[in-house]
Amino acid sequence: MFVAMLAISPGATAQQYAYVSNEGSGDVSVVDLRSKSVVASIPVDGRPRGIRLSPDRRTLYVAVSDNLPNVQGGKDAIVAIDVATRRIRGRIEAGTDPEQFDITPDGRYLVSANEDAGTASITDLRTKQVVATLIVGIEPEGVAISPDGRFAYVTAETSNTVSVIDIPKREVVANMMVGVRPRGVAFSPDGRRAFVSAEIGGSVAIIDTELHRVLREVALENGTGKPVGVSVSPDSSRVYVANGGANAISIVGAADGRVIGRIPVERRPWGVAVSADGRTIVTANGGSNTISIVDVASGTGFTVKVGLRPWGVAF
Amino acid sequence: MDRRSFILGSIAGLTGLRSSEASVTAAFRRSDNLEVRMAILPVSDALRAGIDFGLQESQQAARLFSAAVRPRDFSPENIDRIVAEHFTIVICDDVSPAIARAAADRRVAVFNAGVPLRCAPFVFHLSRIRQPTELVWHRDLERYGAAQLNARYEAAMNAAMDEHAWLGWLAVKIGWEAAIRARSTDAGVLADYLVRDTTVFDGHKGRPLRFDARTRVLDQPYYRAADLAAVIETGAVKGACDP
Repeated sequence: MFVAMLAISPGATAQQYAYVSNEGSGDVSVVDLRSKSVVASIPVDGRPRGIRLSPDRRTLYVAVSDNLPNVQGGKDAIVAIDVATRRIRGRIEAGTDPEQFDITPDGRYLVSANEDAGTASITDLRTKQVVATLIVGIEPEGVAISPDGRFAYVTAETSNTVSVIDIPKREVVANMMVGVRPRGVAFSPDGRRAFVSAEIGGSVAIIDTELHRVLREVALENGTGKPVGVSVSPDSSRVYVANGGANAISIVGAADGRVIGRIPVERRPWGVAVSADGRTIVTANGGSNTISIVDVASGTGFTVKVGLRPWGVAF
Repeated sequence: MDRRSFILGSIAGLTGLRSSEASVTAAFRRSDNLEVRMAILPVSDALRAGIDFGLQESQQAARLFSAAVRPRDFSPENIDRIVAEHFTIVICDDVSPAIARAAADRRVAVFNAGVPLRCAPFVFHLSRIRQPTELVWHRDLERYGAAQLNARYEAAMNAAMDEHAWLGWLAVKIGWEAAIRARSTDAGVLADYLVRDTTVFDGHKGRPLRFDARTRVLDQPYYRAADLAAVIETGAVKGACDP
């Protein structure tokens, strides 16, 4: 049972707000982590899923799509929201059906997975134009960019692959087979490893990012957890994996792949994010319309009701 | 030339490597230039459409690894040609005695999308004997990525994905994935891989699909035709493979 215990002390380095994409209600919930309440709801006109803050934390980007398969509908875009005013500043073209994306550390490029088209798009955020569309695996989903901004890893659910995009060259330079139905991907902040969840395989892959090679697959929740979201602690030591089928977060040692902990949360956690100070993790629990805010040290925390079917979280 | 030396020789030729065992093995481990040959026997139009869609997607995936999926149509009487030309994966909806013999001799791995009436060591059945009220797939399924698969199929084939199409798609997908993950097209290697405890496949049904090691029938959810509610079947499979 998830226990409401955590208080985030004023003046701590923890971020104050968490942003949650709700694919069911078509909006973004802004959650004040201090008051433990939703302080704003931002409609985005479509189905929001992937969600990221810009490196300068001034802009919130949200991937929005419609329900038209294989065509670029009017709602397919990355929506840019001004963090200060909580107003939509613009819509950025990012190919068909954008689901997840990431932004280069210099804030220049956005790489998005186009689920229906089997491609990944690179968008120049200065011109707001797609500058490259690259063929990746079938049914692409997760995207993460290496801390040095050079490579983007793109997972593909049906082909069970990760494609490696060299962003400056704008080409796919490697592909890897990973666990069955890969979903989320995250780099360690030191850039040495990447981690890919496999929903049906029930595992997380540890990847050597210099060789672009899978080092090992780590089974989670006896293979039945349906892991989706992945996030890595700021010191690159721990991997947090949201197990949608097990209603729990797995904590995996980044160095040795050992499962070192498990934190129960509410129903169907998919998105997971860790704070800059590493003390707090937040999960978006699609099955219970909540987020769980967890104190890493104690494994306890509280829940906040958000919109319908929360999908991703950024903070 | 025996089958193993043919496979290794093919890879060496495609990669431009010297045909030494060491260099060929290195290339093999990278899965580069793997050529997966699939013999397609005469099947129903609906099943064939699913096979064709599965070939499209598998060929797209294979290109990511500089590999290839090569299909060719054969008649069931041409099993000797299938074996002679190293088509180690056979997809059918009726396991003829000749095909079963070839499978029993461990020369081909057979994926049967039809009723599992005949058993042989290397024959893998994609569905068990079902009741008329049970479905393996339906065009209206949405969860677990089913909507995305249905949409991709409809866009590619201009038709809704029915049960036969799904079985055809899955047969090719499993055959390709087994080859790329086992890093081999040898029927024996594939068959061993298919029944390992750790081997699972995804059919957009929300749970891992795996072959029963004893019956070689795919264990998977079935759907009640009346309301598309999933029925999970994990018990023994009745039929020719489990008399």
